[in-house]
Amino acid sequence: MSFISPTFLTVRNIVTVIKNLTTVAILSFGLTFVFISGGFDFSQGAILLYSAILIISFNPGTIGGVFLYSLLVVGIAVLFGTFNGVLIGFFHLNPFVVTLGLRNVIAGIIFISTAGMTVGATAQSPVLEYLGLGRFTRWLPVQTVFLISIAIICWFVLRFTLYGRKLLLVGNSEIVSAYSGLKVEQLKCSSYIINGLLAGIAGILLGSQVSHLLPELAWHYDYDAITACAVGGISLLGGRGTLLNTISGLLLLGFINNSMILLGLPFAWQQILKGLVLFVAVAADVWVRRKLYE
Amino acid sequence: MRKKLDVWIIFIGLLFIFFILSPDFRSVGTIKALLLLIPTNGVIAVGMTLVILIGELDLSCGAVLASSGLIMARILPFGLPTAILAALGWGGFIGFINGWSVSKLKINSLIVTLATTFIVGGLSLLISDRPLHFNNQFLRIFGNEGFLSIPYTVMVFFLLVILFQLLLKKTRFGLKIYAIGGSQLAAHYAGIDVKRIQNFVFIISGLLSSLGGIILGSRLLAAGPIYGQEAAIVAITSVLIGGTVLGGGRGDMIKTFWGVMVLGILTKGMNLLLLPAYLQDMIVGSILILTLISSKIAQRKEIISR
Repeated sequence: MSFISPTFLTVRNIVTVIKNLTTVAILSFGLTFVFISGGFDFSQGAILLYSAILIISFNPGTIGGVFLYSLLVVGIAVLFGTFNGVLIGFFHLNPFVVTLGLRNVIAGIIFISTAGMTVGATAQSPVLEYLGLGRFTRWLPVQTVFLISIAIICWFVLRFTLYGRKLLLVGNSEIVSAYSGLKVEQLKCSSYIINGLLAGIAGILLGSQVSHLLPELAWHYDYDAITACAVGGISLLGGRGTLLNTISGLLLLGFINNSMILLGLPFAWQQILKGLVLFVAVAADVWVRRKLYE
Repeated sequence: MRKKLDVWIIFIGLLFIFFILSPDFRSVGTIKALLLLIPTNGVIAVGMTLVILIGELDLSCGAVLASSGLIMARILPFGLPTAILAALGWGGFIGFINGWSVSKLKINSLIVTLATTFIVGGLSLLISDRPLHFNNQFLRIFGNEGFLSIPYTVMVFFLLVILFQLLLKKTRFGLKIYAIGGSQLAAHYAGIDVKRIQNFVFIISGLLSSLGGIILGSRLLAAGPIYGQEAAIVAITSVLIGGTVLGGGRGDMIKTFWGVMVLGILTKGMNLLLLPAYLQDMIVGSILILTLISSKIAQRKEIISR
């Protein structure tokens, strides 16, 4: 790629790629929790958009106001996540269909609250603007600092805590983990709550990045996140993968996206390529699994 | 004693409620207009029922619907039969790819159909990035007129329901579908060619999705790349409302028929009550979740009472 496009390997481009990945990245960290515990989530894109819209449409002004309001927004996102978690964990409902249903419900709420039009901040508060567009030094956007710290926390939780290990075991086999005394229902529920939390945070970061948002055009984030996880080697069947998988998938997806834009590929082809990448990634995962069993 | 509330009772109840609430509802014209809106979702739900019965899901319906409508519109100058065959062939082809990936590559059907949704969605944007309008006498009559005030498209839907109900209940093929839905492993050990049936079911689902596209196209005399985006979730919801169980093995076409009717009358009836159209998304979503919860409760009761 660096041969075809001279701008590809510049620091500026790489920083841009990482900065543009922020939203998708945080979503895919949340999905990682859900995936390794053997679940699935279609609704997080909707949760993300709803929190972004909430953040954009209200202007608290002071730092304290922004902080409190953000807490409220994240709380709502966590509520949605808890809804998923309780239904899937404790009621044993099908995760695909529950989250697909919630996605539609939130889409309706978004439509009602925006009347299908662009949401715009009348006057964006300077605090939010700093959060969205500010830089610490010349090359380090504030958002990237957030991204990296969230990534480190998630990586630590999944890799070094008992909780992360338990999630992996639940994803590997619910029956075995139930017999070994794990509280499977609570663990599954918690993964959706974490997912909701991260979707809310991602929504706040997205909302602070843009001052205007047309919800109709922003429905692709969660599909990108699913693709990133699959490409990185998180098994969509549960029980396998670390956060490093997700990050590598993200970087690959980010640079694929970036290359397609630099090459001037039309949107239709970008869609087709993304679909193919998802397909190949999942097929490879299944193939590797089968080899392991043999 | 019958403990379960049958879906057709809900249908009659809803009909009654709308009949009282909305004066517009009491005319034959309204009923006919309402009937016209049902078959697009109906034929897709018929295919979705088969897919759910073998324990899978198909998300690509919406993309297949849109793309086959576009293909039909593009090929229409070469003659109507060619156009319809091409659209159906395309749907069957996508269904085959889905089925092949599920049966041979053993990929989760949801992920496969999600990937094909992207790919097919991109392809339909390549075919046309804006709605295509066309005019064809036959299609116009097929999509909008009817015999004895029953629209032709609705007749197609009814016929498909009856056909597939017979197929499920009276043929060996139907028995195999139930067997696979009950337990794939057991079906495999019983000597059933699971892969072939999976392939077959996904091909049928693809064909019926593109039939849905043809029906929608002939009603609107237009086709667009984002038409019917919600088709998959609406179809899944109507199948589940009917009482077909997610995970396979239990349910039939008559249930789906009533599910389609209930969801159709609910969402379209809301229009007549002048509730905003975008509430439909929410209604479909919440009904989907509620149906899942209630079917779970019913299952638990069944297990306890045994």
